[in-house]
Amino acid sequence: MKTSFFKKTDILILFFVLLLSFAIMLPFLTKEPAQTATVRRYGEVIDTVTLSEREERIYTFEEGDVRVLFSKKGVSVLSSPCAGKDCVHRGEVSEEGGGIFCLPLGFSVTLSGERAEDAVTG
Amino acid sequence: MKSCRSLSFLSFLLGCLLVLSSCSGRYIHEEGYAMGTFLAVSAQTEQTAKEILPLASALENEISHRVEGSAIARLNAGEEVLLTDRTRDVLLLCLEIKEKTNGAFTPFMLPLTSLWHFDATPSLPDPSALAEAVAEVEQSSLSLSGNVAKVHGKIDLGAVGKGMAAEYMAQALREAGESGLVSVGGSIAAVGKKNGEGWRVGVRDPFDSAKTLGALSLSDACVSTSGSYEKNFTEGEAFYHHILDASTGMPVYNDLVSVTVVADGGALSDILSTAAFVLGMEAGRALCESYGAEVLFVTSDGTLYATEGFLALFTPAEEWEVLPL
Repeated sequence: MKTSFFKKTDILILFFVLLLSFAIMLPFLTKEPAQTATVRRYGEVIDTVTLSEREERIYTFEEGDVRVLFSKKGVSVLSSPCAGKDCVHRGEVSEEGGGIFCLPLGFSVTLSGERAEDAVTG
Repeated sequence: MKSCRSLSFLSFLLGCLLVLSSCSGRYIHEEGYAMGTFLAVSAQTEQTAKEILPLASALENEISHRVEGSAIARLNAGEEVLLTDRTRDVLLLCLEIKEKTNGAFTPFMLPLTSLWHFDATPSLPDPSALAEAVAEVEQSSLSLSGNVAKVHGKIDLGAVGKGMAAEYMAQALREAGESGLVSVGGSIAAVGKKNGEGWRVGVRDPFDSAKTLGALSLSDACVSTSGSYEKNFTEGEAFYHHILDASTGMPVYNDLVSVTVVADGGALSDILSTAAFVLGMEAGRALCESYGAEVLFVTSDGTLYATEGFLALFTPAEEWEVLPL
């Protein structure tokens, strides 16, 4: 008598195993929530901003104030007390995982999400 | 027969579970600040990422000439110092490359770098002070007996510190049994692979810092870049940058704007990127090859040249073409 390789219970077990695997994967497949910007000073988080309406925030340090503009599109540094103003000249950053870094002040604003590159040298 | 069928079925189930679970590997990302620059660690667990991040500060306290009581600060003060193995090893590497480059690269640059102040508000040094500093750098030496060191002169490990930190933190990742990526300023160390593929590391466009020239695919390797665009100032019509020629005390003026080196170690990639910049393309390439390192040169006219090994790892951005060296 010919018997099939899989019994009904085997198929049921296989179904539940696949369902379990999918459940493990699911958190990594879903998109990030609404984009946020994380503000750091010397590596410590000092602010987290949900990017929605246009909003300007001022961060006051002993060196002076850093003015940052947040919007749905992204983030930009409007003014900074640093000498080079590279952070200001950077302009608006909108790509996921992107950021603006002011080395002299140890100040950074980074957007949530994954960048195309894991890191950048140079 | 029945047991064989059951075993096959169980193996198939386990395989499904493993394959589907492994496809979802995500890394924990932590950021920090040390050595005057931004740090980032990507690790497989939050605990490892958080444990690794402070290692850069610990190393800075050991090798930064700016930190009072550090091994290098005490050496520069004329003391005889018992070094850790890692600091001894990096100094030996510096001395080896100093000899190979006939002093084009030297760890004794503090008399010169302290005149230019590129880490604060840079300015053109007084010519007589510069000449004096050049002589001091030339006459500098280090004596090493086991791990006990004494220096004649003053050490500045600015050209190697970030690479050394990236390497040290990568080692900790390995010891934790995880793959990941460490970034200390522009020095990056890749440990293992990211979900079966190399880590994607962009090479900054020296002409537009918001862009990259392309991306490297790295695993178990380190990369560093030295460039004239990183720290510089203009006075009148003259452009001054931070990569100095030890024989003149002035910035190196050749046709290079950036040099990117991929090597086995972070300290090595960092030193070689600086040394190759100072030496120029031909001699710089030869030096890198002698250490089994791969290199990309970017010239001031916007031409990219790379070794064969670098080309194998690198995917240029659409608008760039890389010529083989």
